[in-house]
Amino acid sequence: MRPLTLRRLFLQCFILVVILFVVVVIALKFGAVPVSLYALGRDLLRVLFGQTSQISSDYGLIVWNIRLPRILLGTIVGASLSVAGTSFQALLRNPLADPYVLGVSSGAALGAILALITEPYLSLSPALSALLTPLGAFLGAAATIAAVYALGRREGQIDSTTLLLGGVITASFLSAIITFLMSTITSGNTRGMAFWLMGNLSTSFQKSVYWFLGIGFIVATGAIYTTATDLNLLLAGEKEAMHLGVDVPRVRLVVYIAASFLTGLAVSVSGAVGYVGLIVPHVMRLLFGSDHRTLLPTAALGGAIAVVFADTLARTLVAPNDLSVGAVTAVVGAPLFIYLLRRRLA
Amino acid sequence: MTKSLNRLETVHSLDTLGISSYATDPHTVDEIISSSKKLADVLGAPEAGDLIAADMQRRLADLQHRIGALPPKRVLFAVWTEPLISIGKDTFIADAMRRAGAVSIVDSSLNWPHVNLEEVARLQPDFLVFATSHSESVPPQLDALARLPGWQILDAVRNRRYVVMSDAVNRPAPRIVSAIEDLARQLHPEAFVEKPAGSKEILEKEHPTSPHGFSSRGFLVADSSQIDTMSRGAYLCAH
Repeated sequence: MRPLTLRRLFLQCFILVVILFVVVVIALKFGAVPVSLYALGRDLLRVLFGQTSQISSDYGLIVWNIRLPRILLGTIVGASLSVAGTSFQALLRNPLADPYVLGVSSGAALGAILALITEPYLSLSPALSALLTPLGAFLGAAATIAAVYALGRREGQIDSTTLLLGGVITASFLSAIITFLMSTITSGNTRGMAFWLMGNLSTSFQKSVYWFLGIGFIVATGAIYTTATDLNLLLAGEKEAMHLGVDVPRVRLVVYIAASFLTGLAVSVSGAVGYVGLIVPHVMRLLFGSDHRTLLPTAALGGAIAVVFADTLARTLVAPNDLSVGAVTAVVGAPLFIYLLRRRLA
Repeated sequence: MTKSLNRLETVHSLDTLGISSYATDPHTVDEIISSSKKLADVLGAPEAGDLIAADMQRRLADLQHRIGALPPKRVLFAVWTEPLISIGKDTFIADAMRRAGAVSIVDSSLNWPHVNLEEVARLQPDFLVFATSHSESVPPQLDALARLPGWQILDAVRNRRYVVMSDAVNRPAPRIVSAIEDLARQLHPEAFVEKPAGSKEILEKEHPTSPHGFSSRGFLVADSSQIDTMSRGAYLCAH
């Protein structure tokens, strides 16, 4: 591993930020309503100078009230899933770990649905009931990863084939429960089955939700980042890391809670978007190496780029209709998963 | 059973079990009427079928007479809002909209298109239409919708132009006519201003000193209350 310099870290992140900016501009430009780059730039300057009142045309409103929030959502969902995937891969020492493949996303979706079903009976204040869905999603994610972890252990060691198999079975079991709930519960506010099982970013949220997502993402990712050097040592094995002075149970707990939280966060607003946590960390490892001090921030930026780009395709490929962004990521992700699996077995 | 949701194999399986079946796949309100009639024939009650079909046709013709000349309202029929699912132009629901004096802004040949909210904002429907089996529980959900930035840019949301109608519109069965009447009343209230009230005035003007004024008024009031009971009855049937 090359010694890390701050300059290299900044350079790598800067390149990715530039790519993210370009992708965001592309995403802002394309959609059901055509917008010229000039109008986009003019409105962008007005937003920067706080003259939002001058953006009055319908097209401007479409860009700022529908397209931009959706891009913001894609950024946070992509970054969260990618950081969660990177963390699960380090924690389970399995490069094929991903919130979707391991069933964690389905667990989070089930938790969120249960929260939405019970919410009307709890008579909470609006602020608290808004937090109930992400809380349910987090608990669902945490319980699922604990169950999959237990399933994947054989004679005290994690067996990667058993782990993946356990995850896939858990995912299909939980999806079946979601399908069952969706077919029996008639309550109007649980969102559609297509939302939870395929994942999509078309839902409009109130402004406070974006703040909650952003702060939650920064706190959880920050917590994982404090263990970055420990995660590097964990790659050598749990025993070896312990001999080198890593407090393995503490690192495991921090990463386990934070990664479950990130998955819950993403799933509660977008459903189960698959394979982002698998593809992006792999690409970033190929490009920038597997030092978690660079891998975590580059994976976050890469995840944002991937999901915003995938969602732009989802919005425009069959316009004026929408595709589920989960369908786009799965079309790219599933074959890549098989390729990585075969390369590992070879 | 409907052909669009069931497979031919199911019909064959039912046949081998000795259970006779009737499959239909109506795409328009006219096809619903003829399929209801055919179903009655199959069930051995052709008179009832004729009666139902005649009643449906009469009520639709009456509706056409009332609102046919009015410009149709442009609506978005929302099956779901998260994600936003609407109806395609070749569905019987879209045809039911047309019968009720409305036209769906979604021009898709898919049956259940997943519509982009941007496209809805570009087309700006006059009304959002929701179908539900329990109309009381919907308004809070609509209030929540109105607080979302994405939906706020729809004129229909800003002006609270929502229509909540009976979910009988989702079933290709005779009750759909009640749903169509229900929707037409909400979209074109001006066409349903009780004519007896209007004609009553005319009658009174025409015959201000008529000795039969009272009786004619009495007759008209009875008539309009009869219409009321009828429509209420239809409404109850629809639920």
